[in-house]
Amino acid sequence: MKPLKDIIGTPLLSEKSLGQRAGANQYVFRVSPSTNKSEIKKAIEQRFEVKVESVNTQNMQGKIKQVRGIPGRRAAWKKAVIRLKQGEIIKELE
Amino acid sequence: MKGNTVKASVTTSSATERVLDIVVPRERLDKIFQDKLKKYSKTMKINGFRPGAVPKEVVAARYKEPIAAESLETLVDDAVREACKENNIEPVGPGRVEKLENEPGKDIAFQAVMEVDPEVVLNDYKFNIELKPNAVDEKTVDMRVDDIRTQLADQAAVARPAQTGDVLMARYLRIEMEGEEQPLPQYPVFRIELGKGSVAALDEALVGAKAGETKDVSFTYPADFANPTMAGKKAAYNLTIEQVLEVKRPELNDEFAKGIGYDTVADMRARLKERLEESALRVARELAWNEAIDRLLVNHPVEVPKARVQNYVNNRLQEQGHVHEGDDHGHDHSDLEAEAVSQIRRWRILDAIAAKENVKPDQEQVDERIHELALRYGTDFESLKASLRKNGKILEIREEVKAEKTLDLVIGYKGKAA
Repeated sequence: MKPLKDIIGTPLLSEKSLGQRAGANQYVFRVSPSTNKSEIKKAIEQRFEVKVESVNTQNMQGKIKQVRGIPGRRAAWKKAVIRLKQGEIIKELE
Repeated sequence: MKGNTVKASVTTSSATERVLDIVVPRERLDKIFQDKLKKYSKTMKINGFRPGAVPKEVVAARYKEPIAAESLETLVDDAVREACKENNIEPVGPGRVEKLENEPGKDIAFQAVMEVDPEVVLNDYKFNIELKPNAVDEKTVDMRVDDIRTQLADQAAVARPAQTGDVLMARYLRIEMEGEEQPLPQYPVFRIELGKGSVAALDEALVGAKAGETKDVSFTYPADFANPTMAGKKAAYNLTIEQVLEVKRPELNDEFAKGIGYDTVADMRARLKERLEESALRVARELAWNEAIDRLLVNHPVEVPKARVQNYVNNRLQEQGHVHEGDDHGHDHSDLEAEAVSQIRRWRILDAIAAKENVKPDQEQVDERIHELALRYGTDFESLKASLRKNGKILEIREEVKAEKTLDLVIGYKGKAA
C-alpha cells in the first residue's frame, strides 16, 4: 500500500460537509486522484482507527482561472465521501 | 449579574496611586468568550461557509487563542472600570495590570495599579500682595507719542549725505567674515536705520554716505550679537547705497491728533496715559499673580500623577509638531516634565481654591475677553464667539477667566474701582 500521507489529504470543511457529518455520519476528504475506494477505506481505518461503511468518490475538475488574461487550469483532485459505521466518529475532527 | 460580580479591595500605596486587588469569577470570562465567539461567527468569512453561517465550533477551533486573549483583555478592562466605580476612584490614566493569574478552573485574579489625582489640602492661600504698578509720568507719554509719530512718518528719498536718523537701503556686493568671502544672501538688499542699528560701528561708518555710492565697511561684531554665528567675528562688507531716505515725522498738532482718532493733542495724551496706566496695572497684576503662584506652589506640595505629566508632555510635543509619538523613547523631556508638574500643580491648586471660594467665570467677563480678542483679530464679536464655541476654545477662555479671578482673590486684588 502507498504511504498514508499520499492517499488522504486534508478534510474538507464547509457547510455542506458539516451537514453530511451531522446527518449521515459521513466525512469528506481530499484524496489523491490516483487512489481507489478500497485503498481509501483501508487508509482511513488505519489512520483514524474507525470502521468504514462505504466510500464514494468524485473526480473534481480543476477550475479554469486566468492569470494576466491567460487561461490556465488548477490541478484536478479527487473528493472522497467516507461513511463510517453507525456509532463511529473521528475524534480528531470533532 | 449574580455570581459575576467583581471583588476588589483597595490599598493606597502613595498619594497618587491606588492598588486594586481584583478577583473575577471564571464564569464571567467564559461568558465573554462565548459572546465574542458568537459575534465573530456572525461576521467572519471562512472558506466553505457563507458569511454569517460559520458554526461557532469552527471559529473556536481556528481562533481560540486570540479570542481568549481578547476576552481576557475585555474582562480586565471591565473589571477595573467597575472596581474603580465601586470604590469611587477616578483614574487619570489607563493604569497597569500586575500579577495576572489565569489558571484553568480557578477565578481570575490580578492587581490593577491606578493613578489618581491626590486631594488638594488647602493651606494658607490669601496673600494680599500689594500691586506696584510703574508710575506713568509725562515722559513716558512723550515717548509713546514719539513712537506713534515715528510709526506714521513719511520717508522720502534725498540726495544729501545720510545723517543719523535716516533710513538707508543698501545692497551687499561682497561679504567677508574673518577674511573669508561668504556667499551673498538670497535678498542682498537690506534696510538700516542709522543710530538704531544693532551694530553701532556699522551705523557710524554709513553716516555721510550718499545714494549710489559704494562703500567698504569693516568692523567687529559685538560679542553679544543676537546671531551667535556672527558674534565677535571680524566682518568686511562692500556695499552700495541704493537710497537715502529721510524720515519726516508728522508734526504734533491737533490736526494730527484728529487724523488718528483723537479730539486734540491734550485728549490724545490723556487717553494714552490712561491706556499706559492700564497696561502698567496689568503688568503689576501679572507680576503679583506669578509671585502668588510661586508661593502657592511652595505652600501646597501636591503630588502629580505620572500619567498627567505624560499627557501634558505628549500634548506639548504634538503642539510643537513632533508627530512621532511612539518612537521618541530615549529623548530627554525632563524640562517639559518639570514644566508639566508645575503647570498641573498650579491648575489643581487654583481649582481647589476656586471650588472652595465658589469662584465662577461670569458671562460678562468672558464676553469682555472675547471682545478684546475680536478687536485684536479685526473680526466682529458674534462670529468670533460662534467660532470659539464651535471649536471648544470658549471653554479655555472660561477657564482662563476663572483662574484669573481666583488669582485676584489670592492676591487680594479687588478690581479697578476699589
